[in-house]
Order: sequence, then structure tokens, then C-alpha cells
Amino acid sequence: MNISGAAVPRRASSSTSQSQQGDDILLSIHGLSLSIDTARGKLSILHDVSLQLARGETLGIVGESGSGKSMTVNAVLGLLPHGARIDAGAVVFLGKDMGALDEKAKRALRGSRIGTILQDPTASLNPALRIGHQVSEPLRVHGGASASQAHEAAVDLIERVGIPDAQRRVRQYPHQFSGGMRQRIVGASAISCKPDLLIADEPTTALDVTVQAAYLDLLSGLQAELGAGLLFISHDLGVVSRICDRAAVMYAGRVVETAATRTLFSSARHPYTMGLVSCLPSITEVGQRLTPIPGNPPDPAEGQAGCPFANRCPAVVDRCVSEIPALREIAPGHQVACHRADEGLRTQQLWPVTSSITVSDRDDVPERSDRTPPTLELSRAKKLFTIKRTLLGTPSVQFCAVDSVDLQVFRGESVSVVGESGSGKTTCIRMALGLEQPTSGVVCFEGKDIARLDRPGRREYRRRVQAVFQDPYTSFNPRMSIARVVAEPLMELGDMSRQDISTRVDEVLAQVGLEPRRVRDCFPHQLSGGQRQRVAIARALSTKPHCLVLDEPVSALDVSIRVQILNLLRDVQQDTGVGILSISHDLGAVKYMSDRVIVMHRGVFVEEGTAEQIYHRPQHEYTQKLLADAAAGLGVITS
Amino acid sequence: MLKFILVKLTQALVSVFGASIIVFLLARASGDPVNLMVSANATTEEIESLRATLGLDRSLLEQYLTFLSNALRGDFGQSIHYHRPAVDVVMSSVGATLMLGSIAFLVTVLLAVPAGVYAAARRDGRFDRCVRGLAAAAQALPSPWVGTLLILLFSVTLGVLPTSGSQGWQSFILPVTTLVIFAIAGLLRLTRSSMLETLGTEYVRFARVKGVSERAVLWRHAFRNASLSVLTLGALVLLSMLSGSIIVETVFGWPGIGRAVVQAVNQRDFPVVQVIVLFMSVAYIMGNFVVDVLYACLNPRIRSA
Amino acid sequence: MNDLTNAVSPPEQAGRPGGRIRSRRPVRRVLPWLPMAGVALLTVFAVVGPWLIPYGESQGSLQGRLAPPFRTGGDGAFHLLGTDQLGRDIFVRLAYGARVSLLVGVVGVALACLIGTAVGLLAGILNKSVDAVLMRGTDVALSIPGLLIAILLASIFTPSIVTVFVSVGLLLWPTYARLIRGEVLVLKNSDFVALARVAGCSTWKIIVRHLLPNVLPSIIVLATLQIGAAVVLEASISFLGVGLPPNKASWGSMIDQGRQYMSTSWWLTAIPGLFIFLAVMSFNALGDWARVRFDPRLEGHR
Repeated sequence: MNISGAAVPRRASSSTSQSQQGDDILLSIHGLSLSIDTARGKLSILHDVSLQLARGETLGIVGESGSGKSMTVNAVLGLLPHGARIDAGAVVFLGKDMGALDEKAKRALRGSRIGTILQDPTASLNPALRIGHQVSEPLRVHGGASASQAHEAAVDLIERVGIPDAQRRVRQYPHQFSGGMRQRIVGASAISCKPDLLIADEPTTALDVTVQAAYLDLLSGLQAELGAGLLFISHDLGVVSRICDRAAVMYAGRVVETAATRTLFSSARHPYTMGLVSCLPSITEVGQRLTPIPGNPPDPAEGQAGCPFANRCPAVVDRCVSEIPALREIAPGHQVACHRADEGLRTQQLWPVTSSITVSDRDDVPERSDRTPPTLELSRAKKLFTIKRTLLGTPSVQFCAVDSVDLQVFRGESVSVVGESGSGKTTCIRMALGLEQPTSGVVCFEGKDIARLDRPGRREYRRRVQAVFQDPYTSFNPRMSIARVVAEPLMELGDMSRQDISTRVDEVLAQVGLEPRRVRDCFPHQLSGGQRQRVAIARALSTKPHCLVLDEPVSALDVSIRVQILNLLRDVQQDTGVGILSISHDLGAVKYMSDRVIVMHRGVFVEEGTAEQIYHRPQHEYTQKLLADAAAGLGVITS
Repeated sequence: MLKFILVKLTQALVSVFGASIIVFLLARASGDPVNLMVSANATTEEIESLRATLGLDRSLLEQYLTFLSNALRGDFGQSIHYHRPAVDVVMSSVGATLMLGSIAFLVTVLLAVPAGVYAAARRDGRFDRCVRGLAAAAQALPSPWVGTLLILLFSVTLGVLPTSGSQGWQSFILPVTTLVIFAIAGLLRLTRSSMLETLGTEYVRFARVKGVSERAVLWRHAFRNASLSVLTLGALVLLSMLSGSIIVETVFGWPGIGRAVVQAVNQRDFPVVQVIVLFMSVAYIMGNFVVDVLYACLNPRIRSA
Repeated sequence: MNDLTNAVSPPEQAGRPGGRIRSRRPVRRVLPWLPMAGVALLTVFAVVGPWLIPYGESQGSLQGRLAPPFRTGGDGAFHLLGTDQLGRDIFVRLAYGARVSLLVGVVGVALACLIGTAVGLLAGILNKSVDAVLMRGTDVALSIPGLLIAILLASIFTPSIVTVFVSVGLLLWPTYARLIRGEVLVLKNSDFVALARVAGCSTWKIIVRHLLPNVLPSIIVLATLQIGAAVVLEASISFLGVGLPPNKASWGSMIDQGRQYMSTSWWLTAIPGLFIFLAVMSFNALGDWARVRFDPRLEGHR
């Protein structure tokens, strides 16, 4: 059923009684438009969003940050942030127009009829209240359960979500549980009143890969058991495809395509969906080059005259710029908002995957031999952290973050270390960068221990080894202009004139695809995440390094921006022959850019090999599990 | 938790030790007490023998150790003005200050905390703006002035309350009001801001998502956490009370240690000053320690560690 | 009191992956005209006030004592705001008092700022044992009620404006030390400082280029907020008679001296108090504005 915006009455409570599908429809959103007053003026967050969810059905909402998916959830829950206003349309849940209900009636639905799981399990639970209390709280609030009933229910629920020793654990506090367990607890609380609708807002994003798959299974199980509808929000099409029958793709506050998840993978009709599908790293082969979606999403402060995707779309025609495409049904259950949806555009045409030259084909990279020492080397490097001290200050409990690892990075090659959070990979690169001293073992730069370098040696080390960090929002001093940020490593070398430095800054900014004249005098907060990450790369390249150390360089970025940065890194490596040491928590993410992959687990390297070996013939049990978990997030593709 | 308390206790003892050094040094720097004790026509020998009896001819370290061991036994020497042990002089006025201070402390907390919580709950509402305005005014009101004006209004003009002294419950009203005005703004603002902070957290959102009523969200979910940072400010309020008592007791002629210390300074009665300074800093440090212990008891992270 | 780090929440970043668009109340970008005008008037009053009226700071005749405002006193001279118990002109004494208050506010806070920033930076940057020693020192300094410090100093040295500066400085520095230390501890572990080290910056350069510019706004905001506190403190010190010498005019001592005549001559206490109130309100409003504008995390600290 398609409802175009104009045809929908503003408060559609009357239309629900006429609903053709009757009792089956659990939740329907009709032409919802929402705006919010901010310091920057009025921002239009949602435009004419229409969605339907039947009992027992699972619907995914996929979108990048700013696509409006979270605000859609807020509207469903009736928990809009301060300053937000519904301009048109309605949310109808169980036949009731949520907009017409007063706060008390909405509160009665939340927690009892609608169970919600939020993104960050470490922040969702109140640190000062016992787990049992928080799990059974909806029962007390809505069902009037007595203390003993609530306690018994909490024990049952916690057992139900797979946490052993429930009797004891209900009395504990959130900080005594791991992230994955806390998210299970949040789930237990969400189902405590046997809701009709489960809303999960990015429930696995903050979890480790190995825990994600199990959590998705749990969620599916709970949903099936309750027969509830599930509204699943995610930025990751792969995860959505694993758990949802149908998915809606949102872009810039609009639903651009709705279809069965299988259909989205096999025959998406909207160029944006096709782009998202082709951006999934796991479906590409080692050495393939991805075609990124260029540009950035539109600014919600600017009005939209045409298709919001027009400026990034490879299939754009004149009509796209002047007329907003309506969401229309092109096949049963498949709706697209694109003027060219009927023309049979194919993913391969729009977003071609090209084969790239692999680094080993190159000949200008110095030949690796026993004589040339590696640019960076960790040998028998070990790092202990003290967790607890006795009253006298001597360490009583120590944690071995990295246990005697050997690692070499040569110029021209790309080495990736993959592991879960807490595996020690970050400590590894912090030691390589001289930010952390190894407890034992040595870190060498071109064969020399970095702890014993003389002044010129140290300067050479700082010149030749540069780094890019994960978070483009914290990597810059907010009070330094981009030109100064990029120039800083050059200024520290002290062997270039101001003029030369300035020229070099422009050179590297251009190299990373930024316009030097436009960004030079900007401050970091004026750039988008993707642009900042480009600046970070420019800064790292400014000294012509021999080795780049990358700390999850794309994991904080949106899917469509990720591929842009990965391609850039690949290009840079081919142009300059720089060696790359990168770390990642996701095997899928590094597949595309590594020659060698090292799998790290609990402080040790469990497996090391070429990308080919690791992905196709994993030997170690843990590697196999990681691969399986990465694939599990992409059910449709691998099956 | 035991370890946490032990660490805090050690820190508190170190602080007390530090305060004792400061008090001792100030006492030395305040000039030769002998000059105050002997008559104007005393001979050099008399002065020297008195110095020797008082141990002033020994090294600073030795003098400090003597001071410390005497202090531990509660001996701070004789009050120069009253000619009896300084500790006794101070102890006779401690009670009045404690009475005044604890009543004002209670009133401050009972007013500031609920006001701060409700102001945060309705941010930018009428109540919030009102409370913020009053807090800003309270912060700018000099307490000597407030006290004087209160006396002018209620005692002189209206004649309903006594101007000074500590007889009967009526005499508490004006000093307590002045102290509360002096101390309330900080606590009020911090309660409000830490409530705003917790109200913005994800767990408060999660509680709302569970359908918890606004009242329960406010008190059970938000305040329970905000109270931890409010609690840590409790010791600062105590400090304000001690500081404020000096002014308030002077204005209202309240027979407590605040007025005593001002009198003692004017009478150059240094042993008494010493005892009061040390008493006040120890009171504050211990107050802070009690707050730390309470914090540990209320914070599950520390309690279960 | 806990570390300031507890109060520091990450800045909101719109458009960040996983982040939600939050509405922010529009930040007041308008300048706070009223308090700015108040501070400006006060400054002008302090500078030129004494010249506007042909009476000296301690000049007065007993015939003209206790003249109410806007009247001609017993000595046949007109006094805008009346005269005190010694027949001295209150307007002139208020102007001299304004000089004292402003001077104490600025110099005392500057002193506190210098000591506090130095201690905070050192504690934040150097190793844990230095940090522990400095923070214990800060605790001890905080544990002695501020007025007691002033009283003690006055009892040791001859009271003068310098002892008042020192007492204000000694009283206020621990707040800076704690604030700066907290911020430095956070900044020191930030990505951009790590990257600066990778770029080869020395510790000194990191302090000057990366840490100081980032703590500067907090320092300025706190300083503005503390000038008001310093003015109140000066008034309290003078009120207790342990500040400036008695013949020197100060708002606090004017209140004290006027107290005995409260029942007959209310203006002796009311007017100086009102001046303190308005001056402190102006400085605090300016500080609050600066806090909202530059550093919302500073709520409640001063």
C-alpha cells in the first residue's frame, strides 16, 4: 500500500479505521514530516515518511547518519527531542493515532506495548540501580507487579536472554557485566511486558563482531516467540538483511526504497541502494577496487528542490534536480522513489567494481631482501598494564595487553592487524608509534631501537612514520587551522622554509582530493567527517613517510564515505609506495586493502598470512570464527 | 571499598598534617610571642629564659615536633587574653557555632536540592528562570550587608526579632537566613547542572522508553545518579558555613568560634587563633572524608569493588 | 569535591555517525549589554569619581556628620549621597572604595589564576607522584576557610591592600588548579596530542601549542566569574576590619562603620551594600554569559 504525501490527511486517525489490512497492521506511519528548531535555524529532518509493519513482521530501516532513521523511532515512541515538531502526517500504532494521545497514554504504551532497545548498552543501563530492578521495571510500572513477582520475573527474563546464574546476577549492577551481556539485559527489559512491537535502534553497532551474530540470533528468537513486530534500525545493510524480511532505505529524511531484503541485494532500483550494496566490503574480492558514492549527504538546513541524492547520483538527469521523485510501487512490495526506476538501471553499470593492480605487481618499490631492514619492526614486544595496586603502590594485578609479538612492515606493503576490542591491537600500534614503551622487547625503525635513537635518528623516525587515527572528530586541535594542522609535522622537522611548507601543504591537500584554497583556512569543526579524515591523511603524508600507521581509519565514517577513504589510501599507497600498518576490528573491512593480515586474540598473534590465505584458507579456529561472524552479518550474500 | 576508604582516610590525614604545618608556620611568622608575654621592662636574661622555657631557642623542626605532640594531647598553650588553656576557650564557643551551622546546613540542603531538581526538570520554564535569578542574586549579596539589613528591618524597624545573641529560637532566624543566602547559590546551581547532565543520558532515555513516569525518571533514575555529584559538594557547603559563620557571628554577636577568632586576632591572642584555624580545617577535612565514605556507600561501582 | 573531569561530557557533534541530531537552545550570541554597561560605569566611577566632587577621601567636619543623601549637611555643604559618622562625603568614599574593589578583583584573580594554572598544568602533565603532592597541597589550601587566611595574614602583617591581594589570591587559586588539571588530564590523552607526539613535538611545544590554547577559554570564563567572588571577599575582609587601614575607604569597612548608626542613618550601610551587590551582579552576569558562550561545562564551579 502506497500513500503519497499529498493524499494523506494531516491527522490520519480516521484513515486507520478504513485500513484495508485491518488488525494485521501493527504500526503505520503516514506521510510523516518533522522539523526541528536548532541554533542553526529550522532543520527539516523527515520528509513524507510512510512505513507499515504487520504483526510478526520484521522491518529494517537502513540509513547513514542524518538520514532520519533515529528520528523516525523517536516519533514512533512519542519521545521527540526539545524543539522538534511534526509538520504533517501521523504515526498510528494499534489503531491509535500517537499524535492524538496525551503524554500519559503514550507512556502507557511505551515499555508495555512497545519494547525498545537502544544503541549503546553501556549507557542504556542506570549505573546506580540493580539489574533486576531495571529489567522488571516495565512490569512494575505497567503491570503493577509486586516486588516479589517482579524479582521472579527478572530472574526468568535474564535466564531467557542467556545469562547464567540469574538468581545471583539480578542483584548486581551494570558495571559488573560485559557490553554484550548488558545489551542482553536491555533486551530482557524490552520484552518484559510481552510487547506487540519491538524497536531495536542499532542494537549491535556498539558490540564486538563475535558478539553481534549471537545477539541478532537472540533478537530473532525473542521476536518470533512473542510474535511481535520488529522495527530494526541500522546503518548496515548487511546486518539488516540478516534479521529482517523487509527493509526501507532512508536518505536525507526520505524513504527512497522499500523492498524485501533479498530484493534489495539482487535487484535494487534506487541508485543509492545499489551504491550501498556495492560498498559492502565483504562482497568484493581481495584486490578489487570499489566504486565509492562520491560527495556528501545534503545539509538538512538547505531546502530540497529535487531528488536529495541527485548531486551524488551517477544516473542523474535534468528531471532529478527539479522534481522530487515520489515513492511509488514498481512491483508488489517494492517501492522506489526514483524517476528512472523503470529503466532497468543495473548496479554494475552505475557502481562498477574494477580490478585494481595489486601492490606486488609494482616494480618501483625497493626489493625486500634480508639486507634492507623493515621500516617498522616489533620484536618480542610485550606490554603489561597495571590494573590494581596494593596500598603501597606496588602492582598487584597486571594485564598483559600484548604478549611478545613479532611484526614487520616493509615499504610498499600493507599489513593489517585484526582483532576484537581488547585484543591488544591498539597497544601494538601505540608501541610502534613510540606512544607507549614496551615492557620488554624492542620496537625498531629501519633496524634501530627507537628508544635509543639519537636526535637526528629520532627526527628521521618521526619524519618517516606517520599516523592516522580512528576518530576524525578528536584527531585535531580544535584551535588550529587546517593549514597549520597539516604543516605541523613539517614544522617540527625544522628543515624547510615557511614558503616550502606552504607549498607542500597545498600539494598534499590536493593529493587527498581536497581543494587547498578552500580548506586551508578552515577550522576542523567546519569540515565533515570524511573531509577531516582526508586532512588527517594529508598531514600524515606531508613528510613523505615510509610507513603509515592507521588506527581503524574508516570505522567512524558512514558507509558511503568509507569507500572513498579506502580508495584514497589505496591510491596513496600505489603512488608513493608507502608501507601501511593498519588495525581493524572487522575482517571484512580490511579485506580490500591488505596484502598481509594478522589475526590477534588476547594479546597474541594467532594467525598471519597473505590476505588470500586468511580469507580463503583460514587455519586457526579463532580466524574461522571471526570470518564466520563477519559473514553472519551478511546472511543473504553468503547463502 | 575498604581500600577506597583507607586511601581517602590517608589522604585526609595527610591534609590534616599539612594544615598543622601551615598553622604552625603562621604562628611562628606572627612574631615572637615572648614580646607579648613579658612586661615592657623585662631584662634580656628574663626574655631568654622565657624563650628557653617555651622552647623557642630550638630548631624549627624540633619546635614543630613539640607543637605537634602537644597538639595531639590537646595542648595549644594558654590563651593570652583569658589566661586559661586556649582549647577550653575555643570549646566553650564551639557549641554555638555547631548549632547555627547545622541548622543552616540543613535548611540550605532542603531548599537547594529540590529547587535544583525541579528547575532542571523544567529547563527554561518559569520556575527555572526564577530559581536561577534568585541564585544569581544570592551569589552577589555580601553577607555583612544582608545581615545588617535583616537586623534593620526585623529588629530595628519591626522589632519582632532580637538583634543579637543566641537566646531562644527567634534569635536563630536572622543568622540562619543570612548563612543560607550565603551558601545556597553554589549548591543550587550544581544540583541543577548535574541533574541536567543526567537527564541527558541514555539511561534516562531508556527509562522513558520503558514508560517510567516523569516523576520516577526524575527522582529514581536521574537524581539517584546526580546525587552523587551533589553529595561531593556537601563538604563545600560545610566550608561555606565555616567561612560564613565568621561574618554572620560578627554581625549578630553570636557567641561562636567565628566571632571568637575575630576577637582573638584583635586581641593578638594567637594560641586561640591557632586552635580555631586548626579546628576549622580539620572539621572541613573530616567533613570531606565523611562525604567520600558516603559516596563510596552510595556508588555501586565502589561499593562492590 | 570531585575532579572536574566528572563534569566534562563530550561535546555534541551533529552529523556524527551514530550521533543524534539534538536540538540545542540557541546560544545567546548577543552581547550582555546590561552587565557590560554596569562594569563600564563602575570602572569610570572608580577612575574619575574622586575628581567629580571637591571633597577628599578622609576630609570631613563633625558638624556635617550623618547628613542624609541629597541634602545639605549641618556644615552647609551639599552631599549627593550624604555623609558618614565623621562627616566624610559618601560619594567620594564610594569612588575610592570602587578603586579598591576593582583593583582587588583584578589583581587578586590574576594572582590566583597564575598560581592555579601553574599548579594545575604541572599536576596534569608531570607524573603521578607530583600530581598527588600538588593535589594534596590544593586540598589543604582549600581546607582553610578563605576568610581565616585573610584574618591570619592581617594579624601577621600590617594590613594593607597587598595583604588583601594575597588573601584573595590564596583563597581562589585551588579552583583554577583543579579545573586546569582536569582539563589537562583529558587533553593529554586526546588523539590530537598523541598525533602531535608522532609528529615529533616536544612536551613544551605540546603545552604551548595544544594544551594552553585549549584551556584558555575555561581560564577566562572562570576568571570573569571569580572577579565577583573577589569583590565580595574584599568587602567581607574589610568588614571584619582586617583589610585596608581604617581611614582608607572600602565598601566593606563602610558597611561595618555604618552599622552602629543603622537605626538613625540607614544610608551608611545601605548604599555601599547596594554598590557591592550591583557590581558583583554585573561581573557574575558577564561571567555567566561567557560560560554559556564559551564553556558550558563550567556550571557550578567558581
